[in-house]
Amino acid sequence: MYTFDGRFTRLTFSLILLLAVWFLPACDDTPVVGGNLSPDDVNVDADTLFVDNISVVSSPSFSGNRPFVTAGYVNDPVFGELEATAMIRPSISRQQEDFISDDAQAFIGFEVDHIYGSTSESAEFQIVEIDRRWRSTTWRYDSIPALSDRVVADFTVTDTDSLNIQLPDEWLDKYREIFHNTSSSERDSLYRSDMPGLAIIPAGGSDKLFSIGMVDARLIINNHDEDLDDLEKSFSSWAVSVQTEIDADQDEEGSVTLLNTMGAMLEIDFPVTEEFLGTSNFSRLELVIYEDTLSMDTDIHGDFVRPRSQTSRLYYLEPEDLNLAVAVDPVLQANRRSEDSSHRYNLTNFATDRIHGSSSTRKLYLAYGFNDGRVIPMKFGAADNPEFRPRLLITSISQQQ
Amino acid sequence: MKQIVITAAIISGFLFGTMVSESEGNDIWKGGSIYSQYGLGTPHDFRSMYADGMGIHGTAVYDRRIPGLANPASWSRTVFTNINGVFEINNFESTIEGNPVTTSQFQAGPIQLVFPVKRDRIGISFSISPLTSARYTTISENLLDPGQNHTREDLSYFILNSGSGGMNKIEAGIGVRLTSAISVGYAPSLLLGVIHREQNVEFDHADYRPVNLRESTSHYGFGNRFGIYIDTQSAFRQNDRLAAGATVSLPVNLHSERRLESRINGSDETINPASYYGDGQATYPLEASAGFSYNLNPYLMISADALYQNWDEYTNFEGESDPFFTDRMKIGLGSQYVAARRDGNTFFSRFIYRMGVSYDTGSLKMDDNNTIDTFSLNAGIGIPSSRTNSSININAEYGFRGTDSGDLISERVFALKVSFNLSELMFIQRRLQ
Repeated sequence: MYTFDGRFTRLTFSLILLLAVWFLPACDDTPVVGGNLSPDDVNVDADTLFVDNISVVSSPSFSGNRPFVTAGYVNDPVFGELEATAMIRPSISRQQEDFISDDAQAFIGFEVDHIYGSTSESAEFQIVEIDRRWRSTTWRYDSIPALSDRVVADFTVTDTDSLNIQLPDEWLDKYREIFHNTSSSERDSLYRSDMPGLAIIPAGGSDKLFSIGMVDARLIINNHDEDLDDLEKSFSSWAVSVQTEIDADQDEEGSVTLLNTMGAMLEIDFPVTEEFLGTSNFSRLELVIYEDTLSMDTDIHGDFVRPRSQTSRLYYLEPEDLNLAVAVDPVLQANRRSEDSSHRYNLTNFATDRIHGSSSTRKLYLAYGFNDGRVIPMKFGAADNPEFRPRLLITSISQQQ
Repeated sequence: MKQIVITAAIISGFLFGTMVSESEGNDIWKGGSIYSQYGLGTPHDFRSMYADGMGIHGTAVYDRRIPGLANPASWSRTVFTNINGVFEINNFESTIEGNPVTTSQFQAGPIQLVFPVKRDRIGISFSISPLTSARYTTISENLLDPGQNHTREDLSYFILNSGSGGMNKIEAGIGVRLTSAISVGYAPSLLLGVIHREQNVEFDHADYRPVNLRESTSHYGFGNRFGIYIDTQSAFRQNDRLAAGATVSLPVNLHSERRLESRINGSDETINPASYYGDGQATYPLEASAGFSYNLNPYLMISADALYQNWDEYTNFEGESDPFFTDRMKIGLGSQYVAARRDGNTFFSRFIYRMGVSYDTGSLKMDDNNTIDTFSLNAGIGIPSSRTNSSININAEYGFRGTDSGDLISERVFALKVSFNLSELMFIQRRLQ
């Protein structure tokens, strides 16, 4: 009988059907068709929102033991006067066989790494003794060092080059006496109290800041004795003090100034809400901060150079925790885009967490450059700067209405 | 009886699994007609296996052993208790910009129970059947110019549009035979369903994360359907039968609700709640059918009918008429040959054969007034049981849908349907085997 009766036939039919259902997904091809019939009922929107609530807030910034120290004076046509004092103290550490002869001569050797100011004119500098003990780890950029009027050396800086500056015998005699003390604790204690260190300060007529890479800087002692090795001592402590006319207010062009010292940061405040952003479903939310390149180049002569950092960093902090910025890692870092001098931060995850996650009162703070002991100012466009106004670029999707 | 129960259990499990996978919106079987993206999806016309095999709606046809949904009046002719379940596989082939594209879709067809309250006089039907089906995926490539993205170059992105779901009808109805020739029927129903439309946007750059939107629009409403069936024996010759039938389904005002969600960081976030959209005002349109059938003898039947759907009056969720829709007319002509009723002992004499053709104007009117019509060839075979009234039926359909003109897409549709029909004299103890 050719009917579906019979246990075997029914079972076969059932199995075939079940197998068909199980295997169909595997057979299913990629179900993509398109052409002009695609519904396209979704828009990809690229919107711009201006962020006007930007202000400069101060934060403690420390200059001790950074990669560089900076010294000099410059009258920047854009930023005004900047004066920096470099404080350095050679190490007094001693190996058992180390010895300084009576005929020895001492030099400070370093390389001039970065010039800020005139490159065509030479600048005069002095090295003076510091009168009071100081601690590099807690030294702030705005701390004022206690300098004596004892000038131990002077020198001239023209361009980036290597300098060996001889220190006077009186200074070396004092150093030798402490150095030869066999007790290291007594030696350190005496050194800290009797020789607080040296400061490099601009002499009259200087129009230049220069920076020294402290990794390669040395105190060199030539013993002029064939039986004794010459000594090279690195520096154990160093710091920078900066005095500036820069203030936190917007200038006439609507820009604000930051130094790379982290003494001031940009507080960027905008409502991270769907109402303000116009969407909560974005593919990318980008914060764009522009360098005010127009103002920066105003009245700059051909031989005037100003160092520039390519980097900025973004912190995410409670306002009352701003003091901790020096101790925490930034959440994001951006490199300057050369075409439009912009710094761009991808805030997609930040905003998504704020909108769809837990609420927070933390704010965004932008710091310029790295706090590396150099002094680099930068103008950023703020709310009143029509060309360099900070903004959010939002790429999102929405339904077509 | 035990064998029927076992088979029914297998079918029920099968159906349950399929329905669950559909109700959860699980797109295991993605793909379908590109034209199902419009409105509530592509209309699903299947009403019975015997009519489908003949390419007709089945308004003027009934079969005592296989239940049908086409005409409520035909339920009055019920003698056996019938349970029917249908499964179908649709394969769509098209050519997009010179590239062949094939998609496939599996879905469960109607499930129907019909039983006589009074044999051949009053019959009751319960059924669940799909009315429309939306199942499509499209992709389009676009560019975001350098001024609108941060890559400094044209940024390409892809929009993956997909849709799933459809409308279903849960119906209970009665057919009453008023006279020996005239039967009428009425079937109230609950229409319900969800249409999901999802857009996924992916950018060709790692700095841009994929984003998506998922719109879900649910509908429900109550419908009413009426039918009449008239037949007469020996109309033109001895042992022939002439029948005519007509049905009308009134328009259904759908209560609709819509919400918009997005999957963000692994969790579903509501973008717009249902309250944002308010209550929808969609309307499922009026439907009417009419046809005749003629049995030349107990073995051979021909039938023709027409189905009309008033899609021009369809309104969408916003209560607006949709410019893509137009009234739809489907006409079919087919015949059935019941070889199993003739004496014979060959392999081919045990089956029921069906074949027919249909032309469907479609419910869509695209740009330049191009309608998406379908021409189909249908064929079917029934495998009856020799000991009971139950049967298995298998139908095949090959159709041509749409047009290549006006940047539209023509599809070649191949459908395969299988139904299980359990037919028994319930509640009557057999005295003789």
